[in-house]
Amino acid sequence: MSTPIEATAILQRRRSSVEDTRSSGLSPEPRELSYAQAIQEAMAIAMERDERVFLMGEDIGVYGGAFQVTGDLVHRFGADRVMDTPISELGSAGVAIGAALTGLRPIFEFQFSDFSALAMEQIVNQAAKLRFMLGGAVSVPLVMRFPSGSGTGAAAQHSQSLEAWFAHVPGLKVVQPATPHDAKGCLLAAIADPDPVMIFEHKLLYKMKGEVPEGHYTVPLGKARLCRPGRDVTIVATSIMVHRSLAAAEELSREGIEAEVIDLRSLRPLDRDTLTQSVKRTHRLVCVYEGVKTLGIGAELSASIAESDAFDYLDAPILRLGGAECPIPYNPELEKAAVPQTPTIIAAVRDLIGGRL
Amino acid sequence: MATEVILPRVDMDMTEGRISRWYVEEGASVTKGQPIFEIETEKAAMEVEAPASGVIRDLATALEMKLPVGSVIAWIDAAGESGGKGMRSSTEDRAETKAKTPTTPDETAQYSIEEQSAPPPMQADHPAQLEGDGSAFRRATPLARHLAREHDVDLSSLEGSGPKGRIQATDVERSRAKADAAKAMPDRAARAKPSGAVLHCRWLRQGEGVPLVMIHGFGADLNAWRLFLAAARLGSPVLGIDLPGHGGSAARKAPSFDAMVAQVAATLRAECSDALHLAGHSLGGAVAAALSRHEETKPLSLFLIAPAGLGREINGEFISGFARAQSAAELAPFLPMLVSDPSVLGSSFIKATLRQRNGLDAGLENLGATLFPGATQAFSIRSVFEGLPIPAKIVLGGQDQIIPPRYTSGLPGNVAIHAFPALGHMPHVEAPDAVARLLRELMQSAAPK
Repeated sequence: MSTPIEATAILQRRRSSVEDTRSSGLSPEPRELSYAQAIQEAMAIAMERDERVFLMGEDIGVYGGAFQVTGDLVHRFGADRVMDTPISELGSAGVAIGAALTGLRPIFEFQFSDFSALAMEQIVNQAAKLRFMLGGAVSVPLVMRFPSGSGTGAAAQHSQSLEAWFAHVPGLKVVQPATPHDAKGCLLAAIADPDPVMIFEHKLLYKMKGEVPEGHYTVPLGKARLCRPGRDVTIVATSIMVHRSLAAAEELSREGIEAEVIDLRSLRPLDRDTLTQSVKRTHRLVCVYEGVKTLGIGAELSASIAESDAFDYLDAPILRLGGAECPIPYNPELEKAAVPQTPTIIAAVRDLIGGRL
Repeated sequence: MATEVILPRVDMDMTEGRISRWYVEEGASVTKGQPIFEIETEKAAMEVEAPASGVIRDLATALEMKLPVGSVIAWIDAAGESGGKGMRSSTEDRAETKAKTPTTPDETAQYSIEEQSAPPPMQADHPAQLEGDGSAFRRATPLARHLAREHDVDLSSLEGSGPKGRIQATDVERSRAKADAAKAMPDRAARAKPSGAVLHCRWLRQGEGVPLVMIHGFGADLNAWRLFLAAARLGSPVLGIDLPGHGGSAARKAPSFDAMVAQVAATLRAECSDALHLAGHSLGGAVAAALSRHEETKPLSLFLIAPAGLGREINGEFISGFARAQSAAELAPFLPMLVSDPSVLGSSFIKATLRQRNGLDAGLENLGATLFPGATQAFSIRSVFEGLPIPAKIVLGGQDQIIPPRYTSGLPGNVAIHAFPALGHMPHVEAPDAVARLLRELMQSAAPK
């Protein structure tokens, strides 16, 4: 097993030295990739470094994936490593888990995160449990990718944000990268992780561009990122809500309200420390997430603060802005109204700071 | 159906305001158009009238608490109706009420059954106290509690500025700052206490800079300035004083004009820093003028509106009739004498005037007899102006029917006389903008360098 890794590493070094020469002369600009491109690059790097890594999913081969994330990888790595699966999430997830148990490193793309419901048994009862039930004799180094979230007009069965379901299960890691940089770094970290990792990728983020370093790097799983410092309120957000919260913070800043914005990045493990420290500075907390509000990640964050020593630093009620208590509507205006938008966040923070809550 | 009383928008930029006082009590009968509370915004204080007649309930009694425009602050039940809802302050509550408001007779019946089985309303007289057990548990944020513990502040001694009277960190910090200031200025606290002779006074406006002290006329009280202040756009803090025998100082007696001046001087010593501007109307103008020469008061400027004390005569018919009047009808013949155009005196002015008179009874008549015996003015301020070291302005109306306007002639040249030919005894009521401008100019010219 070790030989191909070393070979890849040498290849990697040789190639990066070529790239270094090129970039030092002609390309001083930081490189920008889309979120989808960043994921594709991460998968390519992983497959080049380690021949155990392979991709599975519906229509990810010649078709390039429902959201064109795998793209032309099938032509670079062949159909044996970029495998189209039948329309049977339960069966395919079982195959992926079995492959992982044998020491391979599958990356399984679910076409929509909603379809995770079909594979619940394999994810929750098998992947999450085997290491524990077999006393650590095995592990399931499986990466699952889930295009998720609303905003594409795909209606109730293709627009959900179900990450909180899985974050409830010990044995699974659940992450939600919000930027191209983190999409690549989280995926590479997930591949290196010995246990099952679920990555929820917001569909509206796929086209978003951002700076992405070349080569291999990882973003630690379970570490939140402070995106914007502020003194008046902490807005903790996940996935696309990070960007809406940052836009809200800009607008609020013009009114003299300085919001601190935290990108949670990972639901399990949960970085309670970063949040607690922030709330101790700002004395107010707003949780913004797209999943249904009730019993969602906001409830966990809110309770974490209530249980922590940050409790004594709260100067206002904790606020949750989550998805509406309904299936995502097909009507585009209702679809927008069903999840927090930038103006929703602005209004809520104004009310909180203005002492109306 | 019950009518909502909402916090109105009284100026263009207003997003929130605070109730500075209620004129009515819980359960009182109110008449549509009657002033029921006073609202304070960043700029002004205004009276607000009842939107309907009936019994008023659920008064939002947390005074000095900022509320958003449009908040429901009380309910008025039409005759025969009884409500059961607790205090409401948020728009959310309003929405809920709207949803519950019955629209058909059938729903009404169902509604009242629900009301009976509903939990008891929140105790409106202790808004910061949580409902239920009646213990002294106060509504406060965790941070406020933490700070209170750390600095040994008693939460029950605080007023909460947050929603529903919730005590927030700022309330604890403000109380600490006050305590620190009191410690740092034992001198001033000591000066204020032993006198025991201070008159009722009230900061009508918060602000920056040297304070302005305003002294009302005969038969009025400090609230008489509020309409003027609403138009005046002053930047400085404003202190209103109730003269002896008036308003909150109704129980205080003044055997003479000089005694009255001495009581005001003692009050200023207790309430104000040394630097201040003085303004007064009519009798209050005379008091202000006398204060400018009082050894313990050091005003920077003097602004007198139709001041008394410049000559011998005064309208005796007005003084005695005004002092005796106990109803709007009795007051009616006298009020038009105050102005050249009686249409500026709205019903709320008349009601406010009567209210200022409440409980004064014989006291005011006696005071009138002391100060203005036999239609004369028993005191003079003419000697004040010779060599006066501070800028002074006198504003008067050429049609004044109370004090003859001719008395301003012959005053020394250092006093500016602004005579509005068409106005009467209350130029600040009839032409508030013009008078306020003169006041602002005077205060600016006299501001400390």
